[in-house]
Amino acid sequence: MKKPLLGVAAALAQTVLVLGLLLWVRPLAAVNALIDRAFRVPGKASKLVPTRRNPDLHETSFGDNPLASFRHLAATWAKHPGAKRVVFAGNSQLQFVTLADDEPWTDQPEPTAVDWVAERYAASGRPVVCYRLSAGALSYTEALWSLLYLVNHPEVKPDALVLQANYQGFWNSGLRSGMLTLLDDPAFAAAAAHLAQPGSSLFAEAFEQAIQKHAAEQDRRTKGPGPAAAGTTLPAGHHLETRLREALDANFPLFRQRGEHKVDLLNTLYRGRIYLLGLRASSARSISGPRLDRSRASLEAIAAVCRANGVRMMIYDAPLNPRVSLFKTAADRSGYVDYLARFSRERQVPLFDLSAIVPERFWGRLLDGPEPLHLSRAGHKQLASVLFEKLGEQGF
Amino acid sequence: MEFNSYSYLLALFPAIAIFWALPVPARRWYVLALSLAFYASWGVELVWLPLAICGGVFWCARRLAAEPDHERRWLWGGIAFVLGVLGYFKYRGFALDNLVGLLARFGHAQPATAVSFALPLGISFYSFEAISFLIDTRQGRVKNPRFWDLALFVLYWPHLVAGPIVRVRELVPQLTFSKKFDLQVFATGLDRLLWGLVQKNVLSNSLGGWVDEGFLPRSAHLNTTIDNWAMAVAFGLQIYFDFASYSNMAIGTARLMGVTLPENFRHPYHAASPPDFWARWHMTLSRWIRDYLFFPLNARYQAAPGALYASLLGIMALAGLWHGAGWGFIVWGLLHGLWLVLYRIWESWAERRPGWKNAVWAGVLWRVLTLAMVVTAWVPFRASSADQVLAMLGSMYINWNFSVSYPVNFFLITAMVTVYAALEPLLAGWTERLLPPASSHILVRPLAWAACLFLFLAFDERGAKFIYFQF
Repeated sequence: MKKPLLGVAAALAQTVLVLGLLLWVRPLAAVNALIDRAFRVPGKASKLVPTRRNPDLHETSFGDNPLASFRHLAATWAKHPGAKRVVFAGNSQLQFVTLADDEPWTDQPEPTAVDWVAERYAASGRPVVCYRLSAGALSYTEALWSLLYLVNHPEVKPDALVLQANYQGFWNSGLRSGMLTLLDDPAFAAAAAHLAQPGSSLFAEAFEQAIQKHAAEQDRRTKGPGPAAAGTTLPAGHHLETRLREALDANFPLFRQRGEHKVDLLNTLYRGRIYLLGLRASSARSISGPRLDRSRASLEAIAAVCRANGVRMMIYDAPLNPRVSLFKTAADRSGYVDYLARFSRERQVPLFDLSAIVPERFWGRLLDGPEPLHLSRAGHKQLASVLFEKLGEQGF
Repeated sequence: MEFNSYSYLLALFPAIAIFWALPVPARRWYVLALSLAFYASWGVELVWLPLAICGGVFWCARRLAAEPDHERRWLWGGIAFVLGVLGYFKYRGFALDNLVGLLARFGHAQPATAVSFALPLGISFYSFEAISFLIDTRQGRVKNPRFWDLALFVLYWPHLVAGPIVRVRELVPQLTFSKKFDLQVFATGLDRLLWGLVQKNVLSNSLGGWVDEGFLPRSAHLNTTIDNWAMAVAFGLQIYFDFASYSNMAIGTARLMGVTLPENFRHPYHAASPPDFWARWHMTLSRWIRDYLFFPLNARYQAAPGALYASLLGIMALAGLWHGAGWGFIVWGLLHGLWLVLYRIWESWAERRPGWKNAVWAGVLWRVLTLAMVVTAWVPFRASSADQVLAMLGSMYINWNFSVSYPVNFFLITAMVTVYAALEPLLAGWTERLLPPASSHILVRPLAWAACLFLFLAFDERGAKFIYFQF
């Protein structure tokens, strides 16, 4: 008996050791570097650099836990009574910086456009506070979802919403699971339920699904597996799991960073997509079907919510790299441009065409070619400068 | 406490160490206590339910054995008791909704009064096991039943909430836990457990978000032909890897205690025909249906093909209903029944034409048809309304539109998981050669275990549920 048990102990110890090593060395990141070298990716490519994270100015969870961010924002804005509040919403173009070839690295996290706008306001002495609400591939449904929270809480209700529009944004859809945390707030839950009336719109069913998913999770947490348990306390298994995760997160940095390995693996697959299949992030595409319709319906709803709550909505056509065309056909381009123009006209929402404000030299490179989305340091400055000017024209 | 939770995994190893340290007679009580604690971790309130089912069934089994003249009465009484409990918890709302709908059609509209229940976890699984205990007792396969044998048989935690659905004679003799510790069995148990974690977190969960979106009712009306086929395939893969992962973890956990549970899946998407699919998919449910429904019914109607076909349709509709209280599940079962009937008709027709029966093209055609049929049937299983089913199937088969509405990543991930499913038997063979049981104590096995844990941790997503928990 003793010998086999020793064998088990030895095998388990080896497993833990190897696992620790795998978590520590980030093998997939090394694989990615090797792939890049094998495909002769220029050393300067992908200079995606760290950017500032300031919870007073940014939704720092990037959609993973906006409730905590918005509660922090309430405390921040409480310190600026009487200031006009401007929220900038958009995808990762607002939150990442890809340095252009001639831009040097620095040790400091880079500011982004909203940081520059906030600094311009601070320097001008105009009483305006800014907030960046961004997440990778933020969908318009998610922008609407977040806006609903803001307008239903006077302490974080903005005076203006500056919404980024870009062609790729209409390809994004749905609500990421972290966004569901907002349903823990009763005022928001009621507002979301009101908009989620069945059959009312394409985004409504995404709302409805999110609400049902959250309710099922709450039910499971609070009621256990059957009706007899209704209204009772959380089941022991849930408590145990929560405490254990918290303890592991708090005490084991390697455990805390476990999600980074998924990012590494997805990056490996992304490289496979680019190098083997030639499918690039900058590949031109046509957008149609439920995602396009849901995005448009969400955009219309954002305008309606802003109007109903006295929030000044503005929309800008986001900067595009002149070397990249994301539109597969001329009809795709005209369809997109025409839609924005019609939306602006019918909803009386000011539209700023900023698609060409960042010149070619201000764009960096992604590993597969020209950077199709993220602005360089100079690009962010340029965007901030134009946004500041346009906001001024609108009375902010 | 799900199998893929940290609390389960970290509690499991000390629990198993204590199990092996205990004297043999104490192990069954220890496992019973752990099983009750496992069920109670979802809420202590309904622990009485499986115990009550065991109590009712045991009483009927005892009466059945004591009163041979009235054994039919006690058998059917016991079955009615179990089905009554199952019906009350699982089908009451569905039945009342349909009744109210029917009354409304005839102008007798009434407010629905059904209280909606959260389904007691695993009730469909342990109800069927309890019924099999009764039938086996009547058929003499269970002698001198003891209550705690039955309780441990039903409550044994590895199979308690989502199977595999076990038989009395294959599990009860093992629940004495008298086997000696075997390192090779332990190592293969760990293989299954850890591979199950990877299947769940990496393969199944990667498709779940896309499937949720693609099956949104209004989206489904806008999806193109390619979108809908891809969504149906993606759901078929998601549910397969989800359930297979659970079964692997159940089988693996049991093996850590030296107990062998039956297999539940054998590469189902490689099926050569509809009956072959059911010999590979949820195998323990298939054999339960075969042994306790199909064989007894067809022993009665052996000579009449019409009766055979009707029984196939009826039984498969019941199998659908077992999965959930909804018309979509019934339609899913009926579609599978229909494929089985069509295959039977083909078989009896080809029986007289050996050239056709053994033709290569016929084999290939049935493989392709089986796959298409299975994928098609997933649509009503996953969709939320008849309207949605018609829209999706209409687009898949009639209103063709070959554009796509989802990002390339969705199609790539679905394609990758499909390729994995296609190569699965081959990869399983290679893995077996690479990791023979004898290598459990050398470096290669811990390497594989660490790789599995690494992927499990990287793809960790709290809140990702097992689909079969809702059944």
